[in-house]
Amino acid sequence: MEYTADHSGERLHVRISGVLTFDDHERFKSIVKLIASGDETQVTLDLGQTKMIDSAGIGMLLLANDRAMKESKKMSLTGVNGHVAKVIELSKVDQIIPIT
Amino acid sequence: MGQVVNFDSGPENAREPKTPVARLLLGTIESANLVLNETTTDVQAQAHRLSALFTSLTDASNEQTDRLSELVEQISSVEYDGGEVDLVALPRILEESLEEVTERILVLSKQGVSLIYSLDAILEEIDELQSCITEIEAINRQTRLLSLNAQIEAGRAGDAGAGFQVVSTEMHTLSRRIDALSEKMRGSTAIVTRSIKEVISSIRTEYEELSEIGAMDLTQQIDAKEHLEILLNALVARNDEIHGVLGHSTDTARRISDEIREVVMAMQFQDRMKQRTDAIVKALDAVAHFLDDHPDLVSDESGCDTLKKNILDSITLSDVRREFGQRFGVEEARPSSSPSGGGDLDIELF
Repeated sequence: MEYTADHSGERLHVRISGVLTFDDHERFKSIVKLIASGDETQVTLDLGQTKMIDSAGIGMLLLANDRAMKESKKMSLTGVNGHVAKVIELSKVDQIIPIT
Repeated sequence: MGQVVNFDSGPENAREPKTPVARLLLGTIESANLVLNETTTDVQAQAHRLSALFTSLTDASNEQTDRLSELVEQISSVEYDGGEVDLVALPRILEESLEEVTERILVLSKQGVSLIYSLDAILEEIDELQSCITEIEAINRQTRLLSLNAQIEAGRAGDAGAGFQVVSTEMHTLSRRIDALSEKMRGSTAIVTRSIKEVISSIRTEYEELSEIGAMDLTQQIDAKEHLEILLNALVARNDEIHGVLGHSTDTARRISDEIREVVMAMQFQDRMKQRTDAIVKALDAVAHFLDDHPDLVSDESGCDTLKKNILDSITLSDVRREFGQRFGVEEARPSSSPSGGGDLDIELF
């Protein structure tokens, strides 16, 4: 997994590429820290370049959402497609985290 | 139904016609009457038999349709846990189970990652604790060095430094105890660190094992969900087809019943035939009786007129009577309405 973060006003935009699996939990922790520490009130995780995600990856997205809510921030997902879209539909994550 | 005709041509001791022609004519008429009557009876019996067979056929067709409906009901559901489960609903139940399993996998995954994050945080704190222990040990080393120096200086001072010698010795003892304590703390933190790393390693192993059986990337669940959706659509389509066929079969059975009913109605021809035959039988019967009663009047003009009248009076079926009247040169007024026992259209059989 690779990621880039853009800070734009009230919004934090994080683009995640590659695969998001259990092995990426260390690196994903830095995204969670970014979400927790920034001043932005809106967080968008862009999964347009994410090729594959496993249940641990979904768990990490849910953790990031929990952390954002704890900091009174609104998190959403964008660009979901392919395998990622199927997993999100199956896991009903879209009922917890808004998809734009 | 048809009228009953008395074919009894007269008492046994009735007078025989005198002329051979009259006797021949009488015999012919009586034979023809007998054959006609037997034919009528035979046709009537066969027509009733056919009607009964067709009615039975209609009942059998309806029963077949009912059985087909019952069969469709039976194959579209199964008994389970004391209740009826619709087969079409089965994939939906399996899908719900799959969603439940998936949801639990996600909860476990989230908790696993969350646990690892918490353990990582504890490890960071332990690292900090170990740095503190290292710092304490460094300070203690300096303290011990100072106590040694103090002992040396106290020795040089002789008796004056005897008290200081005691204090520096206690400091040295204290330093050794601090060393022992820091060593114990280092050992404890090492054990805790090792345990936490084992837990993290164990979680990682669990994830790897789950990944090997495809539970982590959810590929199997996605495939299963897609297969269940295909199965569900196929079952719904098949169910629709079965109900379509059943509906078509019911329509066909109804049409067969209707057509058989029409056939039975059409077979009422035998009643018309019987009434017409009866009319002829009566006419012939009248001739036979006339010949029997008036054997000497067959060549007389007034006798023939009487015979014509007897024949026409014996015929109750209007169109047959009209036909005979025309042949006899006797005009008869056509009935304006349809009295009972009148024209062709007035035959009410069923």
